[in-house]
Amino acid sequence: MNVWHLILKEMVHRWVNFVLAGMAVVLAVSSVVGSTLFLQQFNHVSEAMIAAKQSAVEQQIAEMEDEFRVITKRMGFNILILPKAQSLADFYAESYADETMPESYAPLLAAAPDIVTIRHLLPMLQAKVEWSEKKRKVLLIGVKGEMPWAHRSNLKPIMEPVESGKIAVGYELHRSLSLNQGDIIQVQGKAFEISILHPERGTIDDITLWTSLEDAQQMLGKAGLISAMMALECECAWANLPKVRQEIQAILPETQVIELSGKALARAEARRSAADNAQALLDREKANRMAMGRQRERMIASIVPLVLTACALVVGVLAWVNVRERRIEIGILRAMGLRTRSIAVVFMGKAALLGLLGGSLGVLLGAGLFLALGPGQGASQRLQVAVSLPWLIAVLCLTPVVTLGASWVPILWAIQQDPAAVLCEE
Amino acid sequence: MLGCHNISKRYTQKGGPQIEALREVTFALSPGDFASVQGPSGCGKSTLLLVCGGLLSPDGGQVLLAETDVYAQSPNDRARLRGRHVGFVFQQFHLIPYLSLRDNILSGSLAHERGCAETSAETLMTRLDLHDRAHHLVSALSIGERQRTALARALVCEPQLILADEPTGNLDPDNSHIVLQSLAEYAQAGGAVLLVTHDPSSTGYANRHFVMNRGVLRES
Ligand SMILES: Nc1ncnc2c1ncn2[C@@H]1O[C@H](COP(=O)(O)OP(=O)(O)OP(=O)(O)O)[C@@H](O)[C@H]1O
Ligand SMILES: [Mg+2]
Repeated sequence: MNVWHLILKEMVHRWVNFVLAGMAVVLAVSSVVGSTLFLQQFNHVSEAMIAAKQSAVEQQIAEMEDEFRVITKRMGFNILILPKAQSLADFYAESYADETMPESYAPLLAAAPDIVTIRHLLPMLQAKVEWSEKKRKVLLIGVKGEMPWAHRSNLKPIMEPVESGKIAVGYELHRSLSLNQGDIIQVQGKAFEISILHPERGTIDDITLWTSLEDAQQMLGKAGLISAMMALECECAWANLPKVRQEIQAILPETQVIELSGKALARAEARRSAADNAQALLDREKANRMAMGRQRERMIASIVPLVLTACALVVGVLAWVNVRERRIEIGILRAMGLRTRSIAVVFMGKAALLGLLGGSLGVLLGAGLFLALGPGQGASQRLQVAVSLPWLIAVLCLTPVVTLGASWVPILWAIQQDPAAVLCEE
Repeated sequence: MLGCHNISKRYTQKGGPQIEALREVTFALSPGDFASVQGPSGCGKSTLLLVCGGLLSPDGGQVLLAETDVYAQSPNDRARLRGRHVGFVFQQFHLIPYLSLRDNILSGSLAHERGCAETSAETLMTRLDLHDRAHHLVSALSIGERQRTALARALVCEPQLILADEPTGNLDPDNSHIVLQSLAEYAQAGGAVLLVTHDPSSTGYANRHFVMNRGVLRES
């Protein structure tokens, strides 16, 4: 015979009281467990959903960037930096710029630390001239080779520089004049060795001669001057000319920037805006899910404490009823020599047992309800989320503490009973 | 075994007169004493038992139990003293309703670090003719069986002193006889009994007789 024996027998005997209190505990614990699991699962599902969509959008963006790369490769330079004084009307009419700017602009731009919107920078001097030796109108372009960037890694050049004394010849010229690689030709009284014969492009390139920048400057009498710089927008600034302009003109205010556009670019722009839209939609959905999650959290945060308080009250009242009912028993136990501590153990043991049993059942019920009704797809997936062992153990350990707390006042009353007063009552 | 020296106890009721339940009560019991206390209702008999049993502090005087000054002890030590040396029997039995007859008897050993021998419970059940009801709950027992159970509970750890408050008050003559006879045998075996009773016939089992009137105890 010991105190636990007493506790168990009493529990069984006054089972209605115990079952009612147990139901309150089960309700409280299952509502805490269930709602927490529901919230966890909701967030989990949200995350998975958003992650899936995010990867779809990222895929879309990657495809777009791939396409950009292909277009850029095919198209070459698409940004042209011209002297500010250059009339665009003349430029479009003549297909070249006859105004000039200092050659030093190119290294200035290449040395700028914060330029991000363009890559590959090619300074050049252009002029439409009468090729006196062959009696032809040609476009003479002196190119220096791409400027090395001071503040970032340099890429494989789009256009190889032409060495001094060498010349590259456009298709229409070398075809009609039957020129071959290695031939020495005279241009404006200067001898050049043909280094490259360009294939047909169907543009003004076909009647263009490329020399080194110095050779062109010398031939045209424009030492230290260039007429344009070609560049390539980086993907980050595609279809965002104002941004490119702003960046370049901050460094070189005496220039103007134009973009050479085309069909491919238009398609790329469309894809870019589609990707941007998808990302914006996704961001909105993310915000939506989060707001929904927070709303649920708030709802649960306001309901659960109410349920807990109500259940604690029920447990407390039932403990009070139980203690009142057992006054004589307390008296006789005290008379038989049990100390107040042992009396406390009798009631605390019962409260703890109530918490342990109710807590276990509550956890089972909460988890079961969650599995049966919870959001998300497969039950196994839900179970994975549900089985957060340390958390469940914490709930199981905390429940007896709470039931003890709820029964505290009745227990205190019980141990303060004067056995003499109780035993003399009829 | 039990010694009371000049015990007095007053009850003060709010707005009412002060009641002198015990006045300068002095007496002593030795092993083998079976003392009966008789007196009119309200004269202080139950109060005397509670004071002797360490459940109610007197306003004056000293109670010695097994050579220990009961009310000089801390409440916990007093409880231990009670558990070790005193058994109570009440007119209302005060059995624990959710325990079987047998467990009720064994509950008398709850306060003992080492539970008293279960064999002692078995012996008592046999002697008090309770054996075939061992597993019945209190509610299924007759009045007489209840009081015999309460008596067995008081005796199960073989205390040195039994304090009995009208244990036969609710019993028929046969059951009264069994209870009183058991108490007498217990005293003969070296225990001490303080029996409070209204019933003149029960005094026949006692070997010392006290009369109480308005809180004053006299041995006759
Ligand atoms: N807790 C109490 N508070 C106030 N007065 C009390 C208390 N307990 C007892 N009394 C009073 O003290 C007196 C003695 O009471 P006690 O119960 O000892 O009498 P008793 O001799 O046992 O009576 P009975 O034979 O009817 O049981 C009575 O007048 C009673 O009313
Ligand atoms: Mg009385």
